[in-house]
Amino acid sequence: MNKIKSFFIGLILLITTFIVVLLAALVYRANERTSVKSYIFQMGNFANQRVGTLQDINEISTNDLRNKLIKKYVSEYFKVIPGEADVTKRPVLYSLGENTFEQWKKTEAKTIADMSAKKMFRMVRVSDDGIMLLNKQDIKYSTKDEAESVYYEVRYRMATWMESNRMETEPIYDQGTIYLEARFKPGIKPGISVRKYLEEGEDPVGLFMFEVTNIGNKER
Amino acid sequence: MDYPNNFDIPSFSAGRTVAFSRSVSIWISIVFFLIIAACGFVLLGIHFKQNYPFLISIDPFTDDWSVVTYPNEKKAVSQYQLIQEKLVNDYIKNWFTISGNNEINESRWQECSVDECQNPEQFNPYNFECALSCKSSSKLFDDFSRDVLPEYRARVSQGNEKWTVVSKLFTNEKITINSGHWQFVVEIASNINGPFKVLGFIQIERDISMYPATFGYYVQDFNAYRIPNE
Repeated sequence: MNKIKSFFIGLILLITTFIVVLLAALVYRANERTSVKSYIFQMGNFANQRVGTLQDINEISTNDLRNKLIKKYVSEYFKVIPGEADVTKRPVLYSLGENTFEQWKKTEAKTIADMSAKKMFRMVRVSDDGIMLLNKQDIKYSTKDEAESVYYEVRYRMATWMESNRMETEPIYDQGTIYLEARFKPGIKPGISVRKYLEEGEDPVGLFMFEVTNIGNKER
Repeated sequence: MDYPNNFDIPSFSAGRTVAFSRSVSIWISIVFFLIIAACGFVLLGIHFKQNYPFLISIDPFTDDWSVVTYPNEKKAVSQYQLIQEKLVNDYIKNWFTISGNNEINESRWQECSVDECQNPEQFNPYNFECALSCKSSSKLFDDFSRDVLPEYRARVSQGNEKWTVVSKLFTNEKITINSGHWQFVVEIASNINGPFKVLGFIQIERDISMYPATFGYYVQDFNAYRIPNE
């Protein structure tokens, strides 16, 4: 009986020792991994593009964030990049408005593909004053699951370069108006891990609850 | 059996004391172990609480949203990315530099055969001989000679214009071992027209047999546009 007892005590001691060793190893690992990364190397120097202070997402006002998303959408809708292999692959445009993507493919994509093949380049600018609400004076952002649709009138300015590599070429300026019906709710999409999402190289635009549901007639 | 209390054995009168001290020592060991474990958990907790900030920046020119994050396995810079970056860097410099010395200019703009390009000097950033021809696809160099070069030569002959690349800024998108799409913004100083900004796109491809001096990488397409001063 005594022998059995001492065997079990020995066994318990062994297990305890093993656990302690394991914990020590974990502690060692934690100690090694907890470090402040004081130097970060970057491929290019982007610092002069990042003027202004860094802002937490909670510091940006709701309207400001919404305007940034509208600008991004309009920019993706019209921009032309020279020599693009497949213009219909615009994941950002798709994620910002699944319903309107097919319509875009039918109307704008063909023009963009033609321009891209001719090595033309087009940039789109929307100023904050260019975004106006229609019908509603004041939006109340509901905390309900479904965000309310709001109509916007967005005035944009486009600069188009007709040929590449000619430094004397001036862009042709053009302006127009596009009407968007969009749903927007402040905050980040529920059930999404921001860290994982960004680590996988997805576009940060997709994090926000913004969706263009309809596009109205536009006049140039 | 009620172990420490009821442990009286007639033959060993100190049994109760011994049993009691044993129990106490076991309990002390257990508490000690728990303390160590708690320390370990505290440290583990710190480990998991590390916060890595993500920086989302919006490009004022192109409205691109980009993310800067800590260097992890997925974001590690690969050799081919570095080689491509070097090629892009040298190429932009050579494309937009107009020297005051016309011999250097003509040397930079001359066309060289594949054999002449098989020269390790091609990877030297200060080398300007055939610097464009040896790193471009033949179609791109033809376009350069036909469309861009006459304009450059006119600038040199008419007003002795000089161009220097002041600052370069480029971002990369879609980099693989065999190709890469790059976007850049450069500022160029002209001694006659002042500084101006250029935004452009570079497409890199790879062909080891044709471009051995640059590890096979060459510029397949180059499109640049001058941004008017606001």
